Amino acid sequence: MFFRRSPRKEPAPFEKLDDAELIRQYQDPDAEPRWDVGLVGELFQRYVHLVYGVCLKYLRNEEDAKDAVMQVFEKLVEELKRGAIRNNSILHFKSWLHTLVKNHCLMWLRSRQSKGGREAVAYSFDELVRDAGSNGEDRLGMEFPGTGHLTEEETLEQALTRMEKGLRELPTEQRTCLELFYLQQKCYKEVAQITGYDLNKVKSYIQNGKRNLRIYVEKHQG
Amino acid sequence: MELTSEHNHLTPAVIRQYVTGELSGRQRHAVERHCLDCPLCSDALESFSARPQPSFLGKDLVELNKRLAGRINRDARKTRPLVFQPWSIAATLLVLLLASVIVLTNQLSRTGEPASEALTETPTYPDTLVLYQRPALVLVRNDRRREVARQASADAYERTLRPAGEAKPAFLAPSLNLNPRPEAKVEARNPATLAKKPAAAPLMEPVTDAETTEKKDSVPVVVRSEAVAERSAANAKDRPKRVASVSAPVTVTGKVISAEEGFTLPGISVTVKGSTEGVTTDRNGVFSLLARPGSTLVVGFIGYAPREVALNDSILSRLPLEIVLAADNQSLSEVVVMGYGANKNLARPQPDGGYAAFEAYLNQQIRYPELARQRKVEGTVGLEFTVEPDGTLTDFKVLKSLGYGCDEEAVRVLQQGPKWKPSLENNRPVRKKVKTRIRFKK
Repeated sequence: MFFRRSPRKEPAPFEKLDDAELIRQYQDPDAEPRWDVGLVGELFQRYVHLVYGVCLKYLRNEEDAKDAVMQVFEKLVEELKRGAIRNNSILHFKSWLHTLVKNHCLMWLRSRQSKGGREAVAYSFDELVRDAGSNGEDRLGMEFPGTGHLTEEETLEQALTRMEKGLRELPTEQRTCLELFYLQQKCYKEVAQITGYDLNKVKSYIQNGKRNLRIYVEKHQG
Repeated sequence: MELTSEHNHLTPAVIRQYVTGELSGRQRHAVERHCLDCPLCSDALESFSARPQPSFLGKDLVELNKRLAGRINRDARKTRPLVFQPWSIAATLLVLLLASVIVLTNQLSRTGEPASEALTETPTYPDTLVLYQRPALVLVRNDRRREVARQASADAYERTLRPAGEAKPAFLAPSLNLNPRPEAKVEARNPATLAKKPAAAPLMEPVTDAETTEKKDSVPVVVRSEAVAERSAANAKDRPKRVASVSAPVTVTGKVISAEEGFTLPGISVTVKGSTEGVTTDRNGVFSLLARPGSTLVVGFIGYAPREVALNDSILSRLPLEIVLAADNQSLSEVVVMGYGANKNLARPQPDGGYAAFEAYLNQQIRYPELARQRKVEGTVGLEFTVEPDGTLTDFKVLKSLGYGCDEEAVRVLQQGPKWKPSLENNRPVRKKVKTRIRFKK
């Protein structure tokens, strides 16, 4: 209370704005004040727990992760100023943010590795690279196979038939897990209980099964 | 229940409930399904699920938000003129003055002044300090404080037992209400509170009390996290005194080592089973925590098989512990190996025999259409076509037309030309679209 500054304009109710609007206002050349970092702050605040989680995953240390989160924020401000993401690509903001965070962690680990040998780099560089490769473009903007790709002469019926056929061609484990997960809406834990597979196995069966199914459906399209 | 916020991502509350298992099967399914399509949420969830401390999100998020707010305000201050109010300047100066006085007196008592002097100085400032210290401290009466202070100066080492940043009012308050003379009260204490706070058990009381007093002295210079090494050194000194009592918690120190490579593992969590007490190993793989004999330590991290160490007498006589963790391949979620940055297609389609041969073939085979020759038409035709897995070319499309029969001629030459090597993906031939340009020049 001792440090209250002179009365100032009530800040705009940022909470009400959606992500796209926040970015638009931040980049708005006519805005006053220009480049209001509060907008980015509000945007980042919505994702900060997720960003922290990702940093934690790669850096494996709370303090480092927290520092990384703040650095990512600076990066975000910079990137937005540069106009890295525009209104039309806002749909991918989450994926984009994920890549930004991941790349930051990657760079952090790389610099750490070259500086201080292997100490504290629990998550090795190779591991990270593999990880990054495995889900980056693969998941970006992905829909469940079969939707989104329908051409005019192709009815939903055909798409479904094809998917069912694809499902039958999958390995048994993947098929059972996919069916339980998607059709019966069971959670991983329940799937694991029903099938008796290990929980992590279940996860990878579902991930791989989904990917395989998508590849199948795309290949047999038209 | 709404699982994701209006901005379509998992909220901290949902993540916490997911990790602690409070969600129903259907809700878990929704979370997992969302994660399958959202790498950001899935990474975050995975990492939080692997954390042993249930408090993971609350404390850290509060800190992060605070830092974020500070960062934003800093920026805001740059752009807006700051108008000082006279009394806010006065207040700042007053606080600064107080702080420097406290730092000075604190340094004096720290650098080995006689105990009696520390005693006489103690009562001079506590009340001002209480102003911005934790409210719990107000409970301490002056006479008690003096008594505690005596112990503090008598045993200066004890105060480093706990890192300053970790102390919470909730934890300190109960111990402050207790009689500072430890042995007399041991039996009288409620066993329930004992069970709840293994780290604040009877024999520790003088220590925590002393620490409180000490912390009060050193308010402005509170170090956010003291070096763990220093802590464990201090603990090692205290240990012989405490092992005497069976039920009292003892300081357990140890080192975590990887089974494969043999080097020490930093950042490994070490928790007391069934409680929220836990620490992580420091950069040298060393940890130190208070635990009750008979309890069990759980040591683990993602990628390593967790290990439990029962703290029986024979183990406790062999401190510091050496805990070897073996990598656990099963516990890692499956990783798909892929080149990073490289194209997914290992081989792009190309003409049988390579582009050079293909060009030679084109030069030889292409016939300049009569009409184009008459009109002196020159240029390139842009074509797109699909290379089927069996190497045949289909789906010709003219991207850039030249007209006068040139487009048709270009398609004909390609169609009648050699087969192409299909594109390979994971060593299997797949269909792939190709663009090419055919030049017509006289």
